[in-house]
Amino acid sequence: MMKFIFALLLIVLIQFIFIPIPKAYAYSNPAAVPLLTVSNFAALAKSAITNPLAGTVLNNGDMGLDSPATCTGFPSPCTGVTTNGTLNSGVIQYQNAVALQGQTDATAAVTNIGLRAANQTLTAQLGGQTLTQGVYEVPAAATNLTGDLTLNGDANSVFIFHLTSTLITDTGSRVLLTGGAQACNVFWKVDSSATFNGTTTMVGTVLASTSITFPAGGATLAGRAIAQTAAITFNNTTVNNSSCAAAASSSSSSSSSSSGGSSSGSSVCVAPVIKYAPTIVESNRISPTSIFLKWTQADQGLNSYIVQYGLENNKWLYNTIVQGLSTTLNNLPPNQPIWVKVAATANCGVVGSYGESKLAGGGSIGGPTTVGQNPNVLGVGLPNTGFAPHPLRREASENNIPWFIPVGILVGIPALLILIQRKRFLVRH
Amino acid sequence: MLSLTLLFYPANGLESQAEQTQTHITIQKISQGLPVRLKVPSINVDAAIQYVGLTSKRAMEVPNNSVDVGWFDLGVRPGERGSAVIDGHFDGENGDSGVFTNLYKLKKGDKLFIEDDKGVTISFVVRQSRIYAPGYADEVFSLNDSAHLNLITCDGVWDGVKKSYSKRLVVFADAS
Repeated sequence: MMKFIFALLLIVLIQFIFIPIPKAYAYSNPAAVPLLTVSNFAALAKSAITNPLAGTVLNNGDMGLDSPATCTGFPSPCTGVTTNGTLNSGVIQYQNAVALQGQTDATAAVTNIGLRAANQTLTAQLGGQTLTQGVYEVPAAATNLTGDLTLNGDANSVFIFHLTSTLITDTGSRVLLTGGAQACNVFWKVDSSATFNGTTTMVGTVLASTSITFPAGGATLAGRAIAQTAAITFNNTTVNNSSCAAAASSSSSSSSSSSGGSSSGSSVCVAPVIKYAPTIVESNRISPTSIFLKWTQADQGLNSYIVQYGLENNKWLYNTIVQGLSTTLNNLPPNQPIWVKVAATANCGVVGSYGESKLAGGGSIGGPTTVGQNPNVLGVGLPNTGFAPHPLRREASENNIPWFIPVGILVGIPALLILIQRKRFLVRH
Repeated sequence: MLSLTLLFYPANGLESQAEQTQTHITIQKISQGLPVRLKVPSINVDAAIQYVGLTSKRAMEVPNNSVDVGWFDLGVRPGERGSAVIDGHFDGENGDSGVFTNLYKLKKGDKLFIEDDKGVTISFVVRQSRIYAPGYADEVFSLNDSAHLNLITCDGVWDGVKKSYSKRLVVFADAS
């Protein structure tokens, strides 16, 4: 009997040691905020970007400025000490459509967050707390972070913070990620302005309604700085734009091993791997400013796609999310072909790889078949190009009777009759 | 792009002046610009190009005056693979000649030229003329084996009630 109990205890012990116990979170995992083209930016501002101190570095992302705007302390087209700031693996989108689209997408992201109910309203001071996945509201304070805030979760854990006023950190404050949590899954919606003082170590995508300021001190942001209506000020600041690529693969392996069963009982976001890219198979110009697109399905069961397009290949100015395998892009530059690419999207904001980009519109895509399938050139009636013909002009070529014959008859016969009458009159007299 | 094309034209059409069979080699030119001018030296046409679409009855629209021509901008551009279509008035409202009054005089081998907004000139050679009844003629708009340019105007007799001529004249040309 003792042996049996011992063996039972041993089995239980082995289970504790070797079988991972799912983490217990207070709140279900919110879906990641769809950033669309915002994800391409390390920094995006509306009215100005200022960088008066040397040493600012933006890594792995563009810097964008909406129009009209001023920019100092970065390379041309910015002015001032253009060596103060450096972009690695990014370009300056200066008052162009890319920056404009970025701001549009930032507004969409902020709206997305604003529609989410908070799981918990935190104290205004975040320092000293350890939080797990969830949506949190943070009230206003003179300082929101002194010391460390720890975000604990796995690679898929999403942390969303809604600051109802400003977000202000003390120098030396840090946001720490533990347990595999990723910076790409941290989002800050700030209803006013954000200030990261001194050597703040910040994490996540910061979407500030007004401005973002990094006072002197060498703050670091692992994420993105997005100022919706005003300026961003850097001072010896480092911004590392981070992507979530690792999250998709790690989560997919876990979801495949558990056959999805672990997620069925909650709203935990399980990000799949998207294996196949959609292929654009048809494009037809619908009107001078509209083009119809159709593509093949990516992975089985995926019905949500992101379409990116622009006037040049690999310069994607616009994007749109589509449910289904076709769409019509409207409000395009008249009669200009556009470059298009399509990728599948899934939950957790995962975007698969894009299929081959193609030139669409004007019958140029993919060769003759798409032109042949163009519904706009089928069933078209021949035009009515006629005005009423002038009496003295010939009619069209089929009844090409010289005009002088009927005119000659009309004029000649009365003239002949007059001549005859005149001759008779002269003979009588 | 070099394409070898075998074309066969059936002889059962209305007043077809087409040659029956021909083999030719065409070099397709791709114009990156938008067409702005049509020149047909053999009938002294040098006309600005308007962009036209479809009427409410799904017929090709016409230019708003008798001196310009209209390019069907829902189809391909002149020089692209497919059938670019341009129409023009046969006559003017006040009895003047229309831009395509003499279109019927075009014959096989006559040259047409399209200038685009980037200064590129694309040339075409007349293949045939053909008269249609008003209505649909998909082959005018949708033939896409290579780059074609088709010119359309009115023909036949004027119907004062319908405010329309009884026929349509189409001149088919190929990129040269």
